Amino acid sequence: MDWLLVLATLLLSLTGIFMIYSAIHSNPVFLKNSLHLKQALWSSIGLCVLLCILFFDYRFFTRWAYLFYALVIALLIAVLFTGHVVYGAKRWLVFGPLRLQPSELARLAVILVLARYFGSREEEEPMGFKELIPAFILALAPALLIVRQPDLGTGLTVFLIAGAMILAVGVKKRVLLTIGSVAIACAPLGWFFLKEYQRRRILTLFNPDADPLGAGYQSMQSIIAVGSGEIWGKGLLQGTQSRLHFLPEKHTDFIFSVLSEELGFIGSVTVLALFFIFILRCLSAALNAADKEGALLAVGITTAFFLYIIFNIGMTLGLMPIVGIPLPLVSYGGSASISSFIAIGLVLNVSMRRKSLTPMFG
Amino acid sequence: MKEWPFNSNPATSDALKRRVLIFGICFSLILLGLFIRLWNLQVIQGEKFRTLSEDNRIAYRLVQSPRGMVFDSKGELLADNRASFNIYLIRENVKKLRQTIRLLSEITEQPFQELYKRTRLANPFRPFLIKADISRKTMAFLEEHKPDYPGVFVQVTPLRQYPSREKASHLLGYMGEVSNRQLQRLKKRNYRQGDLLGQYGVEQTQERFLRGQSGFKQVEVDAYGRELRIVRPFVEKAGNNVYLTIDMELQKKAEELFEAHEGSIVILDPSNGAILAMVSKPSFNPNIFAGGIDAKDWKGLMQDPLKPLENRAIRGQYPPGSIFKIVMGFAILNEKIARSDEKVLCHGSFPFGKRIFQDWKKGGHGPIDFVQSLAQSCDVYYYTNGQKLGIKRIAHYARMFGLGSPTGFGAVEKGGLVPSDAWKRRRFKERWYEGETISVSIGQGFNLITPMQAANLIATVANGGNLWKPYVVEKVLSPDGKPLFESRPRLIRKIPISQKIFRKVREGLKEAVHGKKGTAKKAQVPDIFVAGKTGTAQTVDLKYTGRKRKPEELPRKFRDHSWFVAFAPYENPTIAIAILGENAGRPGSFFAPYAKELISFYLTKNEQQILASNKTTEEKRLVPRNRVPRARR
Repeated sequence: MDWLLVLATLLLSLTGIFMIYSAIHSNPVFLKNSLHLKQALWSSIGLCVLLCILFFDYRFFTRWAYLFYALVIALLIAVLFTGHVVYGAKRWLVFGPLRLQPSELARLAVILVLARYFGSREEEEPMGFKELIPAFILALAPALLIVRQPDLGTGLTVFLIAGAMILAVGVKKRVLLTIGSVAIACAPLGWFFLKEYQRRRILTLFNPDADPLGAGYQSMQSIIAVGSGEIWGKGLLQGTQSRLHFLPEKHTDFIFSVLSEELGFIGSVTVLALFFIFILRCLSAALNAADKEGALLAVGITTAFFLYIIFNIGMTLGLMPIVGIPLPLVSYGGSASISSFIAIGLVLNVSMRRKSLTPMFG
Repeated sequence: MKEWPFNSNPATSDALKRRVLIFGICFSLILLGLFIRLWNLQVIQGEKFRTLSEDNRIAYRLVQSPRGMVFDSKGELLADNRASFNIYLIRENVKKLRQTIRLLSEITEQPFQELYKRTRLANPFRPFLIKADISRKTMAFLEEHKPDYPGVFVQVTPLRQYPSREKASHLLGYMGEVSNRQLQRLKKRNYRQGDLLGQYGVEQTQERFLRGQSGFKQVEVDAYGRELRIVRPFVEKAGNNVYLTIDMELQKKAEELFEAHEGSIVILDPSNGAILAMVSKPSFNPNIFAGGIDAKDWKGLMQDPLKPLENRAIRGQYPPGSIFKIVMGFAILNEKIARSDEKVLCHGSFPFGKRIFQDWKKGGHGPIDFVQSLAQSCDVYYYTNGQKLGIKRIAHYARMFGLGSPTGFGAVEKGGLVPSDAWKRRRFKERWYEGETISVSIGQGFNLITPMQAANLIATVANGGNLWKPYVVEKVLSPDGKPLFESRPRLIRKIPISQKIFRKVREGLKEAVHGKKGTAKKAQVPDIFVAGKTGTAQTVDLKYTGRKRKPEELPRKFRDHSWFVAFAPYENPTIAIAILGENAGRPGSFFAPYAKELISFYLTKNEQQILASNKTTEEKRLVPRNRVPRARR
């Protein structure tokens, strides 16, 4: 058991619960619903799920990867037709009291399915185009369905995770160069497929004054919040940026701004360091894995966490466009928390079963 | 954790391990980038941002432009906005909370405990509404004692008001806070939580015209979020003004006449379907909704057994009784069941199978022709000819005149019911009995119509067969007077029946008012001819109540509905009226004098207006289109 990884996870979740309380304490509606306690509940549930996952060998999960993948694709199609609309995007499926966000599952499905696909590959030399095409399709199908919702941020991360896993398996230099140059050439074309608000968000990255009411305003206010924390911070519950409602989505997407404002450089760097340890330990599970499948599983999950961390923190520091991506383990959100714990469970699983034929409780 | 942070397993290939290590280095470098950014923002530029955050007082505040006004066809104001003074409190700034709340609970007459609890739950930094729409006296008192109670302040916000109160309330409707479901739909159109929007009547249907534009102003706020000055104002754009076809004076007259009754009056301009007045009683006062309705008031309205919120004119469905004989008349003549001069001998009863259908007049009307059958409302005439027509043809003619389906006036309108063989099979899985046809012939049985349909029926008779779609919005003007919408009369259908038959039916209706034996003589207006028809609709079979009982002895729901429909002037109709007394327990003729009052009121007013407009050609008085009598189309 990688206790350092577990410790980092627990500390980050605990920080999340405290910061959520701080972010919502000036909002009577949220406070009445005790979102911070709910988050604590989600984390506990997540922890239980994590423990359950440890009992099974990770190869049990990869064995069912294709079925799981097919199910997720079906859910993604269903959400396009019957999804629950929130903020103009269809992302949720509603089953009675349960609301499910299939795009959260899609990430995991793509990681599992690619780990399985490449894991069964025997030869050692880098891959050519031919081998890449099926993997490409496996990654592209859910990514496009998510982009259709529209949820560009998540769709893009799914695609990037797949890319990272392909790179880890290794591709021929020629292939790498071709894909790289095509991607660069296509980038301007992609601009035309973006929606108006998505373009605006990217533009404001370069010129925050362009849209002072929308994305630019939020980005500016977040930077001010972070910067004004200085070294020691304004103190818990003392952040003026958050209590005067200059910050949007304080308890979800902008939780890191609240943290930086109230706990200062000391606090924000501590959290960053925790994430650093977290990421390295996850990669170490990959290095350590018993087989290729396990290694790729860990690489995929690490990349996913890493992308979420830098997208979210980058956004609060004005380095990334404003996309609705939460900070793993820290931001408020039931679906996101539980899926994070599931992912961590899989990584721990890989690191636990480092010898090829580890018995169940070995 | 031997080789921290990386320990490796010999089972995995070296190439893979190398690539994972490269990943680790890339990830670490990017995280280092975030670290540098944090260092830069919080340590190097920290002081600058601290000052910025302390000065960060430019907030965006929502501004809602005033809602458009509603006028009647003569320009009388029906709905506008007034300033209301609201008390707010910012808890953070209050020195002695208990004491302050005690004072506020006294001057606003709210229970202390409840107000205190609500205040404690509110956001301490944001203005919290203590009470909306306080009196000037209270406001003066607060302003005077301002220094003693920091954190309490008064703000002015616009509030919807309806000067004519209960009058035309079902038409005008009311405002209410946007519901969560509506918000889902309206978010794109700039609606926010807590916004008010029209929830009923014209306020609802014309919402998109009436709503003023909302937007943000940039204001400088202090550390507690209080506004200090406006940095960039939001240029207000008021909502558009809606002009209705109704004549408020006529509406008021109708409301006053009907004060003591339940039911509805609908008055139409037969030349185009414009609604001149629409009364539904009991009514409600839309002003109580303006600033958010009290739970107590709402409960009262919802639990009132007479359902004051229901617009009976378009949602009340009643058996038509004898006014259905108008439709029957058209069917009989057009299907050539009888010639208009053919007489039926009425003995006062009509035996059919084992049953005997009674005429309302004991002893009967004797030999009676078509015109007199309408004038005297002879039941036996219609029993006889109705049986010959059969239910299929009766239903066909009823539908032709717009019965059985909504007139198209509004989305919430009910359609009434035209019974037929097919309908009964569907509804009751039972065949149609011929005896039922006989009941339907005099407007009893399953027949149901709304007052709006009755008015449209009589208007169609008046204008010679144009079934217009009733409408109430005449035009919409932008605040600077630009026309945004102008109504155009819409023909539902032209009734395919000859004018000769229309003249005969109208003659029958005129005889009902002016004939020696007419049932509606009380509707006579001096100098002009009026045409009308009474109707008494039984709510329950006589078996249960017995013929002899007086209405007062019956429970309300068993009392008869009373109808009266009329148009005038006979030769060139400019007004068509339908009156319904819900469970009035009176014969239809009871409301004939009401129609008389309304007709003479309207025609006199109209005449004076025409005279006035003819006299002053230079000064051109504006007479709305629908007010000028026109030749029949």
